[in-house]
Amino acid sequence: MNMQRRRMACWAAAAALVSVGSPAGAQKNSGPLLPTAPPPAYNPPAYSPPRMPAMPRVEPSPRMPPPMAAGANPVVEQRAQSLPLDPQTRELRDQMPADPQGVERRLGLREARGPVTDLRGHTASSREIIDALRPR
Amino acid sequence: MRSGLAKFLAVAVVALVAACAVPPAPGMQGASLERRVFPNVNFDFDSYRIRPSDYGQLDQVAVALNDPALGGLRFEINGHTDVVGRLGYNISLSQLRATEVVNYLASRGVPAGRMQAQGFGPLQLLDSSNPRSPVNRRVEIAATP
Repeated sequence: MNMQRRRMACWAAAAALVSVGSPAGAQKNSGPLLPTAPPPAYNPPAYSPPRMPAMPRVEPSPRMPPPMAAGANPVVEQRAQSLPLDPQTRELRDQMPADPQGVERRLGLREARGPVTDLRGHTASSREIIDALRPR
Repeated sequence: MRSGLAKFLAVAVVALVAACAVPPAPGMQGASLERRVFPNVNFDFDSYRIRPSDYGQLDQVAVALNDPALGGLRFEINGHTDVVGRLGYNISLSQLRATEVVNYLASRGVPAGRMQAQGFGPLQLLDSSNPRSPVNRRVEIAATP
């Protein structure tokens, strides 16, 4: 009888030790370590894009202007169309023409040839500009 | 005999040099008197509006062009762009940039009759190694007799 009491006390002490050493031991009333069921897997809800109200479809009409983009200022565009250039040269995009001087001649431009004074990088004074432009 | 040969050689050399001399090209006449400046004036992409930060520089240009030291000269205001976009569009854009500068200078007292606006588009890139560079979006001023 005495022996059985001692054994039960021993089991109770062992159970208390196990409960303190376990991660959940800090919690009160945590039971002995037993296999527990895994947490339920996280199943995010399937993504569904916000529903937009249906817009009526607009068919392009020949009267509609082209979409605005870089290089679509109407004032500039109107002048560009009146330049005395062949359409292929006028519409050349992101590159130099094969004969830049030929284009200058066609447009009646005069290329400046004199020596240059570079005044960039600061606001040049009128005296600097006069000295740079005065013929010598 | 030896001096005669030396004379002949000297005359031949002079004649050869005279024959090889290239007459100046028609466009080059007066170029020795022509001067140009790159003022500190640039433009935003696809814009011909003068930046407010450049008004001070253009005010200094106006004072210079009105100075008696430059009296009798005419001024070409040449606008330029980078290479981005269509050639015809860029030539027009550069013409408008030059015109804006001419109008500004005229509003500061420079006689409009002494100025001419030209637009070169991307035909004379300042930084040809980087044709898209903002430094190409500029105006230049040339003084001609």
